[in-house]
Amino acid sequence: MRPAFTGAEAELRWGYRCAARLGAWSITIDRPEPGEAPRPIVRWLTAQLVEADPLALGQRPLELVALPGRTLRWPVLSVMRADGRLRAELGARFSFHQGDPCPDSSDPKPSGST
Amino acid sequence: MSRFVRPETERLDLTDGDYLVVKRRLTAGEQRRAFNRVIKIMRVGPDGRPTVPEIDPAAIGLGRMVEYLLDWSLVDDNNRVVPIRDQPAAVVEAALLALDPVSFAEIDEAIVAHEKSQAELLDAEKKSRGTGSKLSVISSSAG
Repeated sequence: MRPAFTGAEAELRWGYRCAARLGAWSITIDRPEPGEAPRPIVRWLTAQLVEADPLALGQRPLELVALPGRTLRWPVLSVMRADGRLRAELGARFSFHQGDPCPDSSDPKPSGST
Repeated sequence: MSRFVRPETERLDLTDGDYLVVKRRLTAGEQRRAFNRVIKIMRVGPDGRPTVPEIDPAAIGLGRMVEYLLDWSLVDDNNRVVPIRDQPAAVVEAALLALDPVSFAEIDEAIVAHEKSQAELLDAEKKSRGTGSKLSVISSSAG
């Protein structure tokens, strides 16, 4: 599956606190194809883990913040770490300013954004 | 109630419609960093104990302000917000030091008042739960 978003740097945040610094990252979005039976949209983040604060990483809510710019943000639903990599399930992307979840259809079409 | 600090924020209103966004409470690490900025030199005496520290008067209040401040509404002459959100401490410090002294003092006072009110709230909360800061006797029977 082609990544919908990719980037070189991002953070997982617990409030204003950085819970993890991420290197190269990508998000894939698994959505039903036209004609396919309805099922939930699933977004997976995979990233190189640069630095982690285990206490903060275990707290909720967590948010993925894409750098630079910090305008692309997703809620983090679950996190797994292994061998210097991080994998997380994400919710629908937050809208640009208000922090409200976007409707799923507003996730941009697959491309190498950011 | 957890002993760890949750990263929560507060908005503090200033004069002229300006505001600050600050941390509700500092962690021990943030508090120590703020304190470290004020200490210029701290030596260990012949008895192995620290001597009276030399304090940097220019740094008084600044460390606390830098640790508490997350964002603000302060604008430059072109009416653009001077960005401090997610900026390194050095950038926040430089922005604070570029303020006029009255504005600097206003921000310092607002943060001091905020810190005081949070300490009082925390203290009241602890008292209401009967978990004040006094060490309690763990066990009266030694076996």
